[in-house]
Amino acid sequence: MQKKAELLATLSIIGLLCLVFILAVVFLGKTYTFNLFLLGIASMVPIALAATGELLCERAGLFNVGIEGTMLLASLTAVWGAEAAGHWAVGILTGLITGSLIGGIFGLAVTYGQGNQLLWGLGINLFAQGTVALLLLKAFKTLTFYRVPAHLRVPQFIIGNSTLSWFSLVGLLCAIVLYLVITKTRYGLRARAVGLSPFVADTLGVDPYKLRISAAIVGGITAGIAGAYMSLDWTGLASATLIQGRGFMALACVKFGGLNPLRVFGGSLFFGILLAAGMWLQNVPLTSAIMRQGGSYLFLSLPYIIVVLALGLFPYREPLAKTIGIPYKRG
Amino acid sequence: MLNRLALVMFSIISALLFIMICLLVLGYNPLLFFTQGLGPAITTSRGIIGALSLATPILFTGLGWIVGKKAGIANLGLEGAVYMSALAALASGGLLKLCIGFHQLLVWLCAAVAGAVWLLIPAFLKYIIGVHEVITTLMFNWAALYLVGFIIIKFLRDPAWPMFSVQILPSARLYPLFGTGSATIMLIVGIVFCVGVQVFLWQTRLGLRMRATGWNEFTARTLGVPTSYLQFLSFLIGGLLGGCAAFSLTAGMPPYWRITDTADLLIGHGFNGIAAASLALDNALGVLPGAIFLGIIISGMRFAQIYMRIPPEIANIMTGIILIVIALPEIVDSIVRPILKKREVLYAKKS
Amino acid sequence: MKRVLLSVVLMGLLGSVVLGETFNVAVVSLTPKEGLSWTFLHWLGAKIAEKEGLVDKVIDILTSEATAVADLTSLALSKEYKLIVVIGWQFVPAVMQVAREFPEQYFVMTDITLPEPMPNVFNVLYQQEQPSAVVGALAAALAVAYDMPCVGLVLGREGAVLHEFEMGYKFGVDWALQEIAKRYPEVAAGKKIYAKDRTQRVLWTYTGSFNDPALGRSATEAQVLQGAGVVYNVAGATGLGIFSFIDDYKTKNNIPTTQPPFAIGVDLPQEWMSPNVIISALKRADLAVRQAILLVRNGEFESFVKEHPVIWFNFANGGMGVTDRAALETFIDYAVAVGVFDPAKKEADLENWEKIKAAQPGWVWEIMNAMYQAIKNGEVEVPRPFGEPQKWRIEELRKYYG
Repeated sequence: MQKKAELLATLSIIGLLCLVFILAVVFLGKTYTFNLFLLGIASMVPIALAATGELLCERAGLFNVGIEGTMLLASLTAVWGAEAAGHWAVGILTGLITGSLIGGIFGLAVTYGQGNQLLWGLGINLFAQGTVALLLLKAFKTLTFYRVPAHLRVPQFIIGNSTLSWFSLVGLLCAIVLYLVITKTRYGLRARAVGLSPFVADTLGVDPYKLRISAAIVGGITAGIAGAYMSLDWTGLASATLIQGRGFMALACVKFGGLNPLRVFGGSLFFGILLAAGMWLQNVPLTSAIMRQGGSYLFLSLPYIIVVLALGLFPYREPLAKTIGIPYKRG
Repeated sequence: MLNRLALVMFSIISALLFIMICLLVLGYNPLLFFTQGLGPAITTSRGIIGALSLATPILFTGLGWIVGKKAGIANLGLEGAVYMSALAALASGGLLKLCIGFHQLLVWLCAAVAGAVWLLIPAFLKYIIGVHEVITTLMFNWAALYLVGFIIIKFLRDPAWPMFSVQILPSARLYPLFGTGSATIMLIVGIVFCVGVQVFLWQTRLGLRMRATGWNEFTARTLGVPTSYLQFLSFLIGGLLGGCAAFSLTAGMPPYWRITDTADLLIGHGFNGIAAASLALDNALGVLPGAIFLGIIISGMRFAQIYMRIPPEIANIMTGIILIVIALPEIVDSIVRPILKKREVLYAKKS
Repeated sequence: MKRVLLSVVLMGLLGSVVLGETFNVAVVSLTPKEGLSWTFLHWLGAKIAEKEGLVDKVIDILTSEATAVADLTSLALSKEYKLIVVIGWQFVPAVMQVAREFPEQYFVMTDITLPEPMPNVFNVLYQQEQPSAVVGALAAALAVAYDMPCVGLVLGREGAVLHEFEMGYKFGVDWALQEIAKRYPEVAAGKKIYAKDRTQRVLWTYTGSFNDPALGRSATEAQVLQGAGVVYNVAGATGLGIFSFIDDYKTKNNIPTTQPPFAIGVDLPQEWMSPNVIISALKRADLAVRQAILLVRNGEFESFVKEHPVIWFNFANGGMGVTDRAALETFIDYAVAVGVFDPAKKEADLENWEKIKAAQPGWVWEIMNAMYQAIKNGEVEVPRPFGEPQKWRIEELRKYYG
């Protein structure tokens, strides 16, 4: 019964999106809509990547507010790695490793260390901002930002007048892989069990600590890739203010999906397109009456309000991991 | 209770140790941090007043977070509630004219109600449809940040200084208790509210039912507790408290008594409140020392910037390290326990 | 005004007498120097003075509105900083209070008029719509030269200060298009930008942030793909995204740097940040800080402030302008001096800039200079969204200009 309602909800969302797409093509023109779509994909990638990993964490019962700090540190180390080795792939790998390290420390701190996950998250965000600013000053010897040299940037697909990044496909791949892991593998089952009741899982031989640490590492890996994307691929800059809230957007987007990383990916795509539309719509002649009165803020808040409305219209009820945010103590 | 306190003390000491190592590594004199950084924050009157001023809004947002947490919801929407309540406070305080006592009460009421109204939509979505509050509240935070800009530009602009909002009229202002800073009477109100929330949660039936909802929603519902309604209520209470914080930030912030169109004054208090509440282990009475502790750290970092000439990046790093280390009580516990075991103190562990 | 500036500078050069006590400067701001334009510029002015030996030490302090009074009081009480440069018009009430309490502490306050003139506050105001109009004229001329349907403008968070930049730019575009039609009707004939309605000629986007390069990139991409060939950066660190996108776009499509799309920098000559920046609208905050420092050094601060309670920086006295070779060289030297620029790249940068300039038709620069002269001589008045009397005009101005 719920599956049917779910299917109906998903189909109606897709139908609505098609309608919006047709309207956009009619009013804005084919090329504009296409370019807007590509822009939206570029905005979506960091959010989708971080959200899919965080989904696994939340299934296992961890609430990682520190995604933002992880992305920021990974973005800087990715640039450093690319510079050191002379190739962007090494940079992405370095970002990935940084993310996994921070994820691992997070996992250790909140399992064996019984740490408070919120404080950890807020702390690592502050720590990352300060460290990246300091490292830019001391190690890269530039003030405030560092332009990544052209040969170290990730090559992109060129479609028409705009570009598409490989990472959008990586994001989709991550979502598919995680979907298969969570729903089809033993590991995924165990992760869900630990999230729902770590005590029961413990008595049945699943070590909740080790599992949570591994989930945190996976979350860290995807956040690391997202951070590396932002610096090496999308903007080509390393800066202390690069991420600006995208980690929190990822945190919010996780709730789109429940168990299903594909839904998280779809939700992030929806959100990313709306973010890009918030910029684009400000230039369209139709909206000048609103823009005249200070309406730029209305378009900037559009993605957030529409997402909440969409959730209200097409709700998704999924029991969250009951023990989220609570450290599990082995008695 | 005592070993919890000991845990917290040891957390703080280990955090300070980490800071000192960090400073040493970066080439600054760590002992100076105590004389010129934290020292003035604790010993000089300016430092203490500064800490109290910073703590005043955090008290309310921390309490709002706790009320939500005890009822089982993660009310991350306090930031947005603070922004929108500030607008209501400015509108009622700057555009209306009333006599002194009533004006302040009216502005307070408007701010509190506006906070609750802003959180109505996420609350309804949770109550009626069951949408998870994390996503709705986070999204509403951002929406509030942008809406504040729009409303100030369109409606609440000060005609003489268009980059500022209207100023709260003198009849609605709150004046600092200690001559300078912004620790106004709202600090006393905050302390009273701390006690009040603690009493509410632990001594009243409604509070008991709320805690039951948070403890185990399924069981509570089976036993007849109206869980959805209570969670809805806790959202609104959080909004009311956020409104109190906004009142203190607009009507109780000399010498401005207004906000700019970028609302920089209002940003961050929601999350700082969450940090203070987490430091206090989600205990309503503990929010007061938690908020003051955060206030001391923030103002200590400022003094360190001014007197020790530590660049702001390092101040950020140190604040981050303090929060991280304090989040790890068990590591401290595993160091402390062998020591205490030697003295044969029974260590009762709760699971 | 220019005479005063010049004489002060000369006296500063001649009278490099050690004051006998340390002269430290504190630069207090809301945002860190990471913005690379506004806060950075003030800090740069003080830092260069430090390098030249005019001041002993420069520190930068991050503060917030809530803690501003406490921080400024701490700075004043410590008596270590002779001059406190406060960046951020939000701090005006705090500065007023602390300045009243500590009459011997000198302050610099920019971008807003003090409600009452204080004898120890050096109050600088910038007529930022002026250089915006000049670069708007250039953008319009380039749009005609390359037959682009519109020009672009990427801004930060909407507010009263940015409205001035926005209206100045739009006014400049409009004025220049009229001038080109008058002076060079054969060039103007049949160009796409004339076919567009006046309100559609400038694509303007408020990104909502001064710190987010990724948003800047999205906004620029949206504008360039809609045909804008010149994008003016009024967005601080978000503007880094503009430069990053235009560089990438040209590399991808094999467009040489001498062809559009171009970027226009703001506040300081941003030509060294990207080879595709054709010009910058200068807001010489570093000169303001430098002037204040020299005044303090020579003990003339209070008398100067008494004579000039509000100092307007505009074209007439050199406080605002657009990049010329001298300014660019000066700034590259500054950047090298504070260690953020590789001196080996200096010549290449200057050459590249000259190349871009030379590649444009001569009449483009004529139009820009015509706008500059017209404003400087007072023939043309750039509309200000708020001015004496304090009437708010942004809506009606936008109705006319777009």
